[in-house]
Amino acid sequence: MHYTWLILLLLTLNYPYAQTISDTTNKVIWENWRQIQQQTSDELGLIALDDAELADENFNAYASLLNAGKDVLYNAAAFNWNIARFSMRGYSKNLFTTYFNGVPLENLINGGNLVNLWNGLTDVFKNRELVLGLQQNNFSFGNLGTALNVIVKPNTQQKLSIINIAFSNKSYANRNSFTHYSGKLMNGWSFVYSGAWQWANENYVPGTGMKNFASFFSAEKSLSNRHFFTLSFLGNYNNNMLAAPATEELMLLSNSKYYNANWGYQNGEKRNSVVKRTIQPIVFMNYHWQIDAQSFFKIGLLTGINLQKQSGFDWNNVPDPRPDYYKYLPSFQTDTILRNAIENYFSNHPEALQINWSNLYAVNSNNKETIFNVNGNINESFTGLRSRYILRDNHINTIHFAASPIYQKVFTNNWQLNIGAQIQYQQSHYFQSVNDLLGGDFWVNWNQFGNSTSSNNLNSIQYNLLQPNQLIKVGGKYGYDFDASVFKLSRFLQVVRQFKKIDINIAEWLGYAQLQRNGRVQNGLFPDNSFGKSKQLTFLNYGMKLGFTYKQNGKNYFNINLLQQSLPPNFFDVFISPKFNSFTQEDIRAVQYKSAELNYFKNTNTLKLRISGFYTEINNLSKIYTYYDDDIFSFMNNELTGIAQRHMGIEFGAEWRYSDQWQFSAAFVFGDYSYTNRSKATLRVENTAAIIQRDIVYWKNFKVPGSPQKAANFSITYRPLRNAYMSVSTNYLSDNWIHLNPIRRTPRAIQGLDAKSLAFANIIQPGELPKYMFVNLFAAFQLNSPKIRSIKLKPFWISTGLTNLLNNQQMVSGAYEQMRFDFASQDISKFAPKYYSAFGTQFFISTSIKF
Amino acid sequence: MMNKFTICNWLVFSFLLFNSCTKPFDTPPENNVALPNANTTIRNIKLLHVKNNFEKIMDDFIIQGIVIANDKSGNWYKQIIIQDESGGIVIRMDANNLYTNFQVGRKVAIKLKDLYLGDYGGVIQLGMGIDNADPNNPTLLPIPMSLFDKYIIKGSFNNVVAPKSVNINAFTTNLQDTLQSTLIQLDNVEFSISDIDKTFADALNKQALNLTIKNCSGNTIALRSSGYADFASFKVPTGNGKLIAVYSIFGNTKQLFIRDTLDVNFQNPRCGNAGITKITISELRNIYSSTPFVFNDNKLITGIVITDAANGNIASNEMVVQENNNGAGIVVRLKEIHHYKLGDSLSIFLKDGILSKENGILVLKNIDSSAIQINANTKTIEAKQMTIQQLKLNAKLLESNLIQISYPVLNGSVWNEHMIISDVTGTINCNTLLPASFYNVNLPSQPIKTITGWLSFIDTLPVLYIRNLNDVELLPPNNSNLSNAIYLNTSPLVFNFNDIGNGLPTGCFVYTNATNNSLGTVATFNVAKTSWGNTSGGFKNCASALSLSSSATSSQQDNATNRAIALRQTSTGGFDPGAAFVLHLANTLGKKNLQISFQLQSLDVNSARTTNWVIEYGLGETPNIFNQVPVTGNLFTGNSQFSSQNVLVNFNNLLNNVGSEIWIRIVAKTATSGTGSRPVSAIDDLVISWND
Repeated sequence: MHYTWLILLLLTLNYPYAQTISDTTNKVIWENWRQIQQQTSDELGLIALDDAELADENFNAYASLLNAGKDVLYNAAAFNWNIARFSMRGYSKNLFTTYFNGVPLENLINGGNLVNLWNGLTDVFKNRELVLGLQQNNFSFGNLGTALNVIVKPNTQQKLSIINIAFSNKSYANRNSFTHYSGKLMNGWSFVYSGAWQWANENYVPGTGMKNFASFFSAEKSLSNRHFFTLSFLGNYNNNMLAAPATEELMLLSNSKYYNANWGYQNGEKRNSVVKRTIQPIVFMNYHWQIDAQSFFKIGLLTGINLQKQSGFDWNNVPDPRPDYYKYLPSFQTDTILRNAIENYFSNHPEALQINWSNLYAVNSNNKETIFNVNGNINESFTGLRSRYILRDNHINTIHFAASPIYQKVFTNNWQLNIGAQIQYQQSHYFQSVNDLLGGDFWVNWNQFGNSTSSNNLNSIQYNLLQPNQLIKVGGKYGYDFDASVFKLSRFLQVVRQFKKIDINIAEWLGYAQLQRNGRVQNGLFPDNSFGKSKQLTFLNYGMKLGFTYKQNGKNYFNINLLQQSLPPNFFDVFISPKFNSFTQEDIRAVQYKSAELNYFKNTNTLKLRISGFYTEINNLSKIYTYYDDDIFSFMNNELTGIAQRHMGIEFGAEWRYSDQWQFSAAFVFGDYSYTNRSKATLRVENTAAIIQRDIVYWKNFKVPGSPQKAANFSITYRPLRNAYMSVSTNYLSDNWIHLNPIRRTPRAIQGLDAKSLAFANIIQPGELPKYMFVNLFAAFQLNSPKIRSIKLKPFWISTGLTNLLNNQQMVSGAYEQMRFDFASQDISKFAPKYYSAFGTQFFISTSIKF
Repeated sequence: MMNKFTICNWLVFSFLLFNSCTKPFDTPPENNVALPNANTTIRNIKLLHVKNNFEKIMDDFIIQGIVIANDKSGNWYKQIIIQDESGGIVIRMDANNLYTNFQVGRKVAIKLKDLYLGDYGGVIQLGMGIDNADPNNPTLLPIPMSLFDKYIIKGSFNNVVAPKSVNINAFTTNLQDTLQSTLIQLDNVEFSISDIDKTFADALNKQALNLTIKNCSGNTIALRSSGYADFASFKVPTGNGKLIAVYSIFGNTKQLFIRDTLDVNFQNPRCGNAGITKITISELRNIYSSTPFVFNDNKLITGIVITDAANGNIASNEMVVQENNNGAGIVVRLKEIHHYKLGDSLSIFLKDGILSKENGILVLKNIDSSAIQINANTKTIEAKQMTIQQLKLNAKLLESNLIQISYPVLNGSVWNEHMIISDVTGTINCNTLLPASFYNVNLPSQPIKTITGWLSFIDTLPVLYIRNLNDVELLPPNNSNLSNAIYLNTSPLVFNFNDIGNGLPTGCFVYTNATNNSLGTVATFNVAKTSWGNTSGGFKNCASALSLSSSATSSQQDNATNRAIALRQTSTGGFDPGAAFVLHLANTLGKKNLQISFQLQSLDVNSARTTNWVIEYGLGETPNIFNQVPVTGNLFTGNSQFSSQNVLVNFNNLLNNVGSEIWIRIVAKTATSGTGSRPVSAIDDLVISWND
């Protein structure tokens, strides 16, 4: 890697950037700038904080945001604000969808995107169609958030090869990619293929790192310029060593905002216990039939698998192996002498705040035990080293299929008709396996939490009654084992009429969805309700959309859009604890959305402007929060139903080209995303499915957490020479709220406290993340290439950037309150909120060589 | 030009790369870190401790020891015990499942600086800090989990500590006894015969148990096991043999703890008797069918003597033993006169005994005193409390059980074979035998609170026998309750209430908050003359309805000499429901056919609501059961009426000859009905009559 640095440096010295390109207008040059920015946006935007816990907290997916179109505000969000997980209009991730050649890539079970298209393959996916909010589009009914359609058509590309090399200190250290477009060949074929490698042995956060390989191939055959067949293949391998969130106490103890409890030294090497590995091959097929100049029919099919596993500790009747467990920390001690002693110990022995791998090996390799009735066979017993600590993998193996036919016809009298359908199926197999026995010989398929709640059920500790007392070796399945499957079918019809001054579009949508769980093991806690298929939950949903645009002239547009839609709830918000049983929430309803937006666009040669107001009501949301309560030795499920939210605000984005040298842009969002009612909560013990409490959650008017609600960006770009750009942007983010623990907003939590007391306020008040300001720098310039023998290289670009230039380490990218609450002491510090700190200054430098 | 080969290559290459990116981590080597050398011994450290003190160790002392006990079986909790050549010590550690790191046989070194010494019941412990949550009883804090590695260095495994062979008498409760917290071995010991049917501890209720270990010479020591131990529910072995245990004390109790049941190796025959099995007395009773049964196997029962042979109210060669409070009892007849005392806990070997039915009761006879072993003295069996009716209904099941009757009346003049006791529910014979020390002694004249005895039969007739005069508990003569009760001397007893300006008559009370099972709370009675129309709630002194009309003025009412105890109910204050007029009778000894009559009055014509009254009686000092009695006459007041109605209550034989206190009440147990003002109710001219 360091050689490459040197070469780059030499190139820079030898070939000063004094190249002139005569045949481009000023506008094209500035367009060029946008493309460069876009190309590097993936690097800026990639966030490695994809923790399972946070996924449950409904954090938003960024894939859809990573790819700014031509919207100024969207650019600002993608390049700058994602540092705080900014989400457009504060929506949750299931309202943002990515499409590939018109076929949706939704994760039907969790919401968000199933497949990560990017991973360094920026070059092949740069052709994107972005639909913001309720705007009309021609490939789908659309979403409340954004719909992003990636278009890959090899026959629209000239023959070209691109090598891209980049360095950074953030999510990767080094990235190389190669892309080749064949151009249109004589026999009607066109090809594109691309590969990207990126890796970092250690990232910004200690103990984290990543390896990623992605490859893409696409072939297109055209017949008589009316029939186009495209076959594409995308493959990704991803290996991410993840960071853990930390409480303030841990940050103070470790003297670092980036304390990561997930790693420890093993034989002198840093080993991370939480590693997420994904393999996702996927095949796309597209057929485009250009029936005549006014009409076409397209159908896209995609099918693929997604094998994902994430490691973590499992243990059985031994102390918690995670160093950040609350009982290890000074705050757990009530005695000041002990508290100080532990504080001193941690500050003198920072390794005690990391995983002690050798101790885990020592316990396992000295724990000889005999297991009787192995596999349920009486008289069969096995004696060996029983692992008390293991690394387990939580697997999600998904097969998925989607098809999307669409027909469009434009009539001579300015009518346009779109008819389309989407068929989607996804089955995800959730199970656990042993990743590493850590020095032991076997693991027993017992549920260590099963024993405590039902002592008269002798089978309660068995994860699988069909094969009790099973001994598990490395790679062996254990624990929960079930399939979640979702089938969705929908169709839409859209009519667009263009008048001289007015455009009208009307669309309607009908959707059918089917959710089912299939248990593959018979759990000892729920012998009658764990094995086999659950009943099917079906939903019939509708949507209506109306748009009206007044075209004052070619530069000013006024636009109003209305939408009403219902959507099925997410699988994991319906099934209460699918790991163990098929029980569902008592009150299952479709989620209702009502939204309106008002837009003003101005588009002149020097000024691009959008001002929007939006108002959205979301009703009947449900959500299940799961946490472990070590007082009753069971996981708890807190089921919330009837959540209502209101998202409203004003968006502003403007870009003003002052001169050939100077361009200014500004963007801000002034949002207000709030809960508008009190939700019903039902608290269940996971081990027994017994309802132990019904609560009302008093969070009316609390802000919906997860995204800054107010954000501003101001950028200045300077172009001293034709092919050199520098930009500096200042950003301000505020009104970002910590994910709430609903239990703390119930009458139970504040029982007996004086309503005016500080303790009372501490319990119910939501936490606001610090407001912050940060500065990003970005520069790009073009260099002439050296002539190397016969290869003729095109001039190449070098772009470089610094984010968070002032190294503001007070920024928090995400935070949540722990779901436990200590009712006895009513002390919130016992289970304090956890934070992900946003990174300090980071750089990247990247170069593209085209030939 | 792209061809198929290139495509294939590309795909194959892609997949190869997918799977080539992870390398396995090395297994760390076995922990063979050299332990820091010890610079002192466990004994020297223990000598620093003064009982009930806490000593912070300020020097860089290091001890080494081998783990001899941990929490693996659950018999210890949050502690391990280590031992070196000089002695052993308990280390308190704030974690569960310590055994996974501190296996028995693991050598550890402990850096003592900043740790604390303390003791628990005389057992010296190492911990960290002092818990002053209860300032009168500070305790040693355990070492927090996160500091284990700072103070405790783990070393090699499988080191052997040989238990020290000692005699059962070798232990002392001295703080510095070198055996304390060390592994010891006792040879040729066994569980005491009274314990051999027991489990190590009470696993169901998670209660620890002390069992008795004895040697063949009869010396004993306690073996204590935690209810959380995984062997708590195991039955103890009945044989004799070797015991390995950790010696501990709690105050003055010497006690042993085992690591698990492998430490108990009792496979040899017991001292003297081999192969004994214990049966319950209930099982014993079930053995009898219709003919005498002779035992010729090694069975054993245990029980506590509930008779008092010394006082002679039982044959001198007999006793009754009852297994436990809820267990069965049996008459045991020995071959000769015995000296077992009330409260002796016995093991009785059944061999050669005969079970037979004699005069209607089951007797275990032909028992030799050599077949009886005393396990303990002065144990008590709690008598079952019941009424005579309940006793008679369940008499067959209660044979040879200790029974207690409350508020009985003794019918007779002296203790003899003709005495009969009665309570409200019935009568039962209560015989005193001629040899009894209290035979012909006069019966107490004072009312009796309880009488206790064992149930026997003469053929099919149930008979209660008392053991001695302590079985008769008298009501205290200076019972403050009774000093303001009504004593029935000459019938009839008349209350005209005309003098209530000076307070209520003795034995008359007014109550609020009365409920089905409580008298409620005594309310104040306002002695000042009050007019009927007065709307403030409470019991008050009003003119009786009998001498005036509803339209009488306030001054006419005040001038009236005929007074009544009146009540204006209000929604609060426990009046509605819950108001009551109460009569408190000391007893009805020698009286029968009790009757009460009174005037129930409605004094305010402007009160539209209706109050419903009932008459109830309850027994005892503070009765919690009340029985309703049928009446002649109307029992409601209010309803915009002005009236005085006669009410007659005939108790018939319900309260005949009752020895206990009696509470009779006129009570509003249900809320007033209707709307408008609540009534002003009153009672007047109350007459109690009876036959002697």
